Amino acid sequence: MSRFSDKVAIITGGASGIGKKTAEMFVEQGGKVLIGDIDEDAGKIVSLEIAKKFGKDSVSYIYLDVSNPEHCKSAVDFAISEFGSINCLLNSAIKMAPGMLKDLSLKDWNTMVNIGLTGTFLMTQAAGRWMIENKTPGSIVNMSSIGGRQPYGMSGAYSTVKAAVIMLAEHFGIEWGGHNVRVNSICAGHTETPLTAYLKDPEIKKGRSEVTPLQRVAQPIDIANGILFLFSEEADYITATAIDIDGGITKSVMNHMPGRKWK
Amino acid sequence: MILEGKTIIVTGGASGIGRATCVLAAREGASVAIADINREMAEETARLVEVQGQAALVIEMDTSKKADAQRMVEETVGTFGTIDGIVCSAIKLVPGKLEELPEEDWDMVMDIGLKGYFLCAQAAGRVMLEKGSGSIVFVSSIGGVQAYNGAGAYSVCKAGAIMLGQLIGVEWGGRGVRGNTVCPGQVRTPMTEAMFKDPEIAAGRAAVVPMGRVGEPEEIAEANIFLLSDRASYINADFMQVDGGQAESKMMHTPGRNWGGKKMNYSTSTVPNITNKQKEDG
Repeated sequence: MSRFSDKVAIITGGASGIGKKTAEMFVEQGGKVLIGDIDEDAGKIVSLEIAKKFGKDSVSYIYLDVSNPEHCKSAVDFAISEFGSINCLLNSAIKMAPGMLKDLSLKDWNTMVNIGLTGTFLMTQAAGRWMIENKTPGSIVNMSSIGGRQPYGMSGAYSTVKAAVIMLAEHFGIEWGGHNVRVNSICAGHTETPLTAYLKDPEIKKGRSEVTPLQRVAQPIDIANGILFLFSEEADYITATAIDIDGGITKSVMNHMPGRKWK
Repeated sequence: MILEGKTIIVTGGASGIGRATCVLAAREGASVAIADINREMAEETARLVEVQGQAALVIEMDTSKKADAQRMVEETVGTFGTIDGIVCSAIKLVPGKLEELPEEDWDMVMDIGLKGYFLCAQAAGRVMLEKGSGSIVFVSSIGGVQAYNGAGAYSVCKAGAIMLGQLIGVEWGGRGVRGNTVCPGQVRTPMTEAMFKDPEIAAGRAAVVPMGRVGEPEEIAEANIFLLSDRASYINADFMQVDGGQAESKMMHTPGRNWGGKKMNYSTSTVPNITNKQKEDG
């Protein structure tokens, strides 16, 4: 029996990057996945690719705007009708609206807060309600970032949203512990995804690799491995916490001190 | 004056942040006991305290010795009648790479920087617990919240100091004795002067701080004085970063970004790569 046999996951933002990789690996390891994404073309393509490899019963796609509560309820209903259960949820949908706070428009602020934070709340609430009502143990993971640990200048509302989803997971985690619904966060470091297209610039990629103690940026699989660990029964006692998967970068401020010539 | 009539002990009071704390405590009206292994420098600090119109007592001691810590308390109470607060800042830097760090270097840093804090806080704390009031302030470092590579046991010692400060606050807070920790960032002191006298290093180190400069000992001392005073009467088991924002500045050092119009582009082409530099140093 494989790791996620009979397990069903909803993955928001599942059409690309970390969400996509997690969806593929979840199915590869025996699970069934509902990909929710606002990018319809990409979502259908990923869904088809997975179906081709692992069978069409293993995957489905739904058009999902996580900032819309009706969409979130529909996604949960759809997962139940397709697969009969929900055991896991990854909240990884995000839209970047970078900028300096001084000049940030309310629209850009709302975009990130609505998708990144309110969307995470709505999806977690919708999926968690079903798990609790149906006495189904569950594992929910919020995609956070090193930007949720340290202020990420020029990123608009990003850092604030990513810090908030850590707290949101902790809060859901303590509220739902008695229902055996675990809620945690993963704080990803610099990861090569479509969202971080600037990493295609070899100079930037090299620079960011060198400031990371492990000397490389992350690939989506590095982050997906952590998410799947939290999804799995191996993490049965882990709730209301956050795991950094960042090659050590969050703890490396002191690496940037010029002139460390002690002797 | 926010420490008027109080008696404050400062370990490591002969220089740097410790000395600045002695002088500012005197400015705020406190009598000051200057505890240090270096009597000559401690006497200098005593003159600076006296210039502020306050009484000074020099205690030559090794903070890592229990008998010395006990004597420190006895001499202070013998001279000033009581103890209202203690700032522990004595430390010795013994840098080194972990794979090569000798046991005696580890022990020296931990003995002075952690056991010494415990022994001095315990000895002074007993007096304060008996009278039901007092404030204990530990000088830690942002190296206690961020791993400070190449610094031997320093980061571990400083992380331990934060926890010890919290533990004191939790154990003794209900009996009127508060425990807190201050985490300075980069500060130019006799201890760090060897690095900062190189203008390139000084400029580079200033640039990695969000405020664009390193701190002065007095700026750390002000935080110590505040925590000693009754203005901080509800602050307990806390730690305060006094670092110009440096400990939270990781993302400033992400290559390929222009920071806030300050043109701080940390791409490897414009700034010497620290990792490689450290390799050269090694």
